[in-house]
Amino acid sequence: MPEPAGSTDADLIGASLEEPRLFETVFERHYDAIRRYLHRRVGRETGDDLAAETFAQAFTTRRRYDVSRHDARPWLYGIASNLLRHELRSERAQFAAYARQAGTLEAIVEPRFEEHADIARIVPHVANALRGLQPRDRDVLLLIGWADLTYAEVAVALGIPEGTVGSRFNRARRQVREALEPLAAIQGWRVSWMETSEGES
Amino acid sequence: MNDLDLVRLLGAEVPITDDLARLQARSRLRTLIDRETRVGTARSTERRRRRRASTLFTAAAALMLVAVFAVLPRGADYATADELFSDLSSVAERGSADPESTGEFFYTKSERATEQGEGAGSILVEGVREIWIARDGSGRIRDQSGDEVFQPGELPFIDTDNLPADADALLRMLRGGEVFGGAPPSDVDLLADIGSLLAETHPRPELRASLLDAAGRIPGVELVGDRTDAAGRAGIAVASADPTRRIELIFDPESAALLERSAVRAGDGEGQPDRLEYRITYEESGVVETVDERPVVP
Repeated sequence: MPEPAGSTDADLIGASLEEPRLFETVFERHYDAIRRYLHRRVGRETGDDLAAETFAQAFTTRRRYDVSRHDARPWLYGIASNLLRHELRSERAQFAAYARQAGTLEAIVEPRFEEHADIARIVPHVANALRGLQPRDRDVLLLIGWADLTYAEVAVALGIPEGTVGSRFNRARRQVREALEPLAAIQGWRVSWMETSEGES
Repeated sequence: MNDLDLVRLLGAEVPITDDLARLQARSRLRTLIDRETRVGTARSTERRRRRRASTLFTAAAALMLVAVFAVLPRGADYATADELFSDLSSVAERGSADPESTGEFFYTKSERATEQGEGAGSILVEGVREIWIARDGSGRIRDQSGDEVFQPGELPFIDTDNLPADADALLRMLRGGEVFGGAPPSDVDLLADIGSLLAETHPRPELRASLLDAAGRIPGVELVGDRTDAAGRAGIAVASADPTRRIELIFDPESAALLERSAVRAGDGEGQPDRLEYRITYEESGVVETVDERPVVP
């Protein structure tokens, strides 16, 4: 189906109430990003199921969409986040898998960050740190870190005030840093924010 | 590089290579789209067919309508919710006690659409729910998420035998939060609570009548008029609303049974539409001996 030129997501969702096929364009625009995000959260198999469910839910509940919001990403990530709440076990398993895969990361990390060769060894421990976060804090951190949503978009997605987004985001980052710094001291890792300051807030 | 950069690296290398899942997701979406398109087309065809039939048989239809409306109550027969509740109460009072009410388990089957999660992406979970509950709080719940048996004390049984059949006394207890526990409910929630007692417990006829009388005394309850529930059954609706929420109940005027209870959260008036919080369509209820039985439908 050709994509209607210049149509925003809101235009398409609104028009799809009369012409349901127009919703396919919303799917084509956002499916890959949603699927990639869900893969990272819960692994390939469950992520595929949840991505399909996200768009099925979006289609069946699209009458509730706020058409003053042109970009449907916060809505779709919000649906995905709500579905993820039933998959905490899969998410724990996925983070455990990350923690086991230090070797596979070195190949991609080192060429990009040559001055920090230790990073590939640190990243798996980030997985353990993420696993230890409260799910609601992890949602905020990963919607910003992995889905590239802004504070305002996360607020819409999760139905919380922007100030709460900020406090959850900062708390999550602080906990990640606190989990990594003792390890860095023991293992002699060299990462700039650890050496130079207490990190950003 | 900071801690957020490290978080971003996690899982970033995972490529998406297969298109099978994408095809399956698109196929699932298309099935929903096709179903909705078919329903829309069918409704249009039905509307056209009805218009033609209407033109040809206007006189006959008018005669039939007169005959039907002379027998069955409609929303237009009532000026206020209070009048409707008064009639429903009379119907309920004439009802006989269930001959099988010696059974141990109260059974209710309902079709539910429930909002889950928060924010723009809250989802609507739909499914059929069956519940068997005994006086000791044991029972069974079977729905889309599973089938679970509960031991005594695990389910919240509300003993309606202890509730007064006097509408004012009943209303006082409900307002004080003495029936469901917790904080005293608002007038809007009070209507929902009465709906819940009518459909999800097994009140004796005089208590059912009293509950309907009590509903008629809640300030702000308005007559909505004729409505069809999600199961396609015709009824008469009442509603109560405050700036944030609206509760609607649909009754069968012939049996005084509650057909459907729903709650809608109000939109913000700036683009955010109203959102269905829940819709419970009551399909079956009765008393049975075990958690493996269902009431016999006459």
